[in-house]
Amino acid sequence: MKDALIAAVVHDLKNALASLTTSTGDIARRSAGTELEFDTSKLHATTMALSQRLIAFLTLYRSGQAGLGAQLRDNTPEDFLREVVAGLVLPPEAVSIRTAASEDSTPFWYFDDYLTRMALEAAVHNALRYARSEVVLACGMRNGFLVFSVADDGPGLGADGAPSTGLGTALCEAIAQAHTNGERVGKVVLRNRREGGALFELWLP
Amino acid sequence: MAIIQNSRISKLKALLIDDMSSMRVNLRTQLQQLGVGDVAQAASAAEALKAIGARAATKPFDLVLCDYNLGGGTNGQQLLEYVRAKKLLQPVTIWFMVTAESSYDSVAVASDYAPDDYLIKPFTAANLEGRLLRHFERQDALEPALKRMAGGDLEGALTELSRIAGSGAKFTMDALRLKARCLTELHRHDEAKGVFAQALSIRQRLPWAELGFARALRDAGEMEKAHAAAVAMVAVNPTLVGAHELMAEIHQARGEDAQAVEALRKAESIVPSAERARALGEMAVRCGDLELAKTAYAKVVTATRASVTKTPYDNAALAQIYMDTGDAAKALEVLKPVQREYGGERGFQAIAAAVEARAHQEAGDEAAAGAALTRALEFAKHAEPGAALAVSRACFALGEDEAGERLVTDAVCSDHEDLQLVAAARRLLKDAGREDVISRAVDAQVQNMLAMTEKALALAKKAQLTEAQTIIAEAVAGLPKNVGVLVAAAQINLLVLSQQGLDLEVVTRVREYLGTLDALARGTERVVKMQAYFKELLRKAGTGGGT
Repeated sequence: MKDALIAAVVHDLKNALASLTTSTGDIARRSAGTELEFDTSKLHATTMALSQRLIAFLTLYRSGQAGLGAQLRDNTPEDFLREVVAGLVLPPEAVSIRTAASEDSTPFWYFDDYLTRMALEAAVHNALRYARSEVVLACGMRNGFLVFSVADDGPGLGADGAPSTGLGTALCEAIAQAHTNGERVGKVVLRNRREGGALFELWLP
Repeated sequence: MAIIQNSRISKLKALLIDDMSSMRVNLRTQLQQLGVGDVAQAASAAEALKAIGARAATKPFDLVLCDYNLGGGTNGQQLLEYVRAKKLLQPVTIWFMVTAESSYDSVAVASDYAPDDYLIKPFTAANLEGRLLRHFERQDALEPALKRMAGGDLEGALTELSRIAGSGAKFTMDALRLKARCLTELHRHDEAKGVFAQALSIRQRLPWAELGFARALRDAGEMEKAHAAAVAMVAVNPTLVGAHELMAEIHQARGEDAQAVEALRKAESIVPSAERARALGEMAVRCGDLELAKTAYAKVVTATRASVTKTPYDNAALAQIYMDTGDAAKALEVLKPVQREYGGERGFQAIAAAVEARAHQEAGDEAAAGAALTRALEFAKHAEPGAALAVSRACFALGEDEAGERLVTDAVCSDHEDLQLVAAARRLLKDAGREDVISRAVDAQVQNMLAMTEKALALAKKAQLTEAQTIIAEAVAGLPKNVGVLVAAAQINLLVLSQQGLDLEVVTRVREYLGTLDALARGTERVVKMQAYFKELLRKAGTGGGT
């Protein structure tokens, strides 16, 4: 099958799934407080996650075709992070997610909020697979980069149980590289935390 | 997904514009989740304009969610540009552009009419809410400045904006952008340049700041540098419409018409719009590239046929191009559909009758040609220079050289410093083999009026103000758009006001002179000084500075 046809099919699926996700969201909202609450919110989180994975795939596909163009504008990192967390749709059994106070914040920074949100959502979903009790998001300035981080308290890197397609990592790499400022280019750093668990960092110049 | 309804959001009166009904249903559901009850829908640009018009007086929209791809030949950006340029919505109305992720890159072109935000499909109600809250926060932070700007108090706005930008906090960049806009409006181009440079020192390669800096260079008269800046910008970002348009303006100002056409052609291909096609058509006519002009104007006529932007002057321009390329039948055909509708539009009727006269003449029907020319001459009285030139061309074609000559002379003298008008007159006279006319008749009239201006100024110096006023008024009538004449006229009348007190008739006259000067020589030091002096006189007299 030709690449263009594959992309067209995925695009079509994505639209259908987006519509479905609005419906499941509506159902979840309307069944809040009823005996269906658990199941409908799980249903909604599942369709949402599928929809996001498909968009991630399409975005990555596009980055291979023409490169990802980042639309940079000034965002307030802490507000942005709060918005990302507020917008997450998680299954009812998910561990808690919180934002940590910033180490060294900046009132505004230039980045593509759409792409950055997509990267952080992928990182959060990955962290949720391993986290024991919580996932922590934070942001701060380091070496002239704005750094977003997603930390979990799971077994850490290299102790992999669940299989992964690598889609999330490839997407985050592409998004980081779409961010440039002069000579400097964004990057992704993955490492283990001293206190245990894995740490994902997105560095934006 | 628990969304706490925000009362500011739930009060919004919203308009959804999307050609796909399933998308409208989707958007409507999301707005309902945010508590928005007043949701109107439109499936096309035409429907949207209808809805905006119908609600303007009673319940104007606060929020527009517009899909970029609307089908039917108009996209969301074109609709936004049209709506904003015509001020069909209040400036505070929020416009969010909805785009598919695959077209995101191409959609976000730098334009003077940018949407307030982009929403990339698919998005959730929570995403939309986040965008709205962010918009409100920015609006609230900037409100003291925006209010002053809306009220014309640019100095006050600058103080507010410096405060916000000086804090280095959130919205610093918005404040800098608005600051530069105020400074540009005040013709303080060097200071505006400084603000754009400040923004670029915070973040390099910001399209709005780079474009603003280049425009400020142009406005400050540094054409070479402005051009170099625009060239550098499109080298990095070829889809920057504003940079192409700036290049076109610079080329045009330098008389490099062919390059201006090329730049306009690029701008038009990036974000096609009737306005851009029209600008391209005009420029192509000026260059004598009639084939390109024909294509451009045909596009305009087709694109605006069923739209509120329709004007018969596009048909008139296209008809003249057909006539000039030897296609009389097509020329008449393109006039037909608008001739009855715009019966009262004298300028257009003058051109239409002139085209008819030439068509009949070519077909050998001299009687009909003569009758049409008589009508054209009647309509051409008090018509715009463009219409006068069209009729003059018909006069020469029918051998009525004397009438043609008079029309050209009057048209050119109405604004002999308008290089484009003079060039159009020259082209016309060259085609008619009468190039001598401009230098003979026009130069004589210009010299005469300038001499009168000198005389009026000399009289004013000798305190003979009444005589000076009479003579300068005559000079203004003869050369209504000459900067030198207008400056002298404003000076003399300001002197009258300061010495003899406020006379309503003189105040009105000064206001007219300064208004014309503002359009002709914006920001010139002497014009700015006279405007300030006039304001001061009015203030002292207690009539306020309102215009």
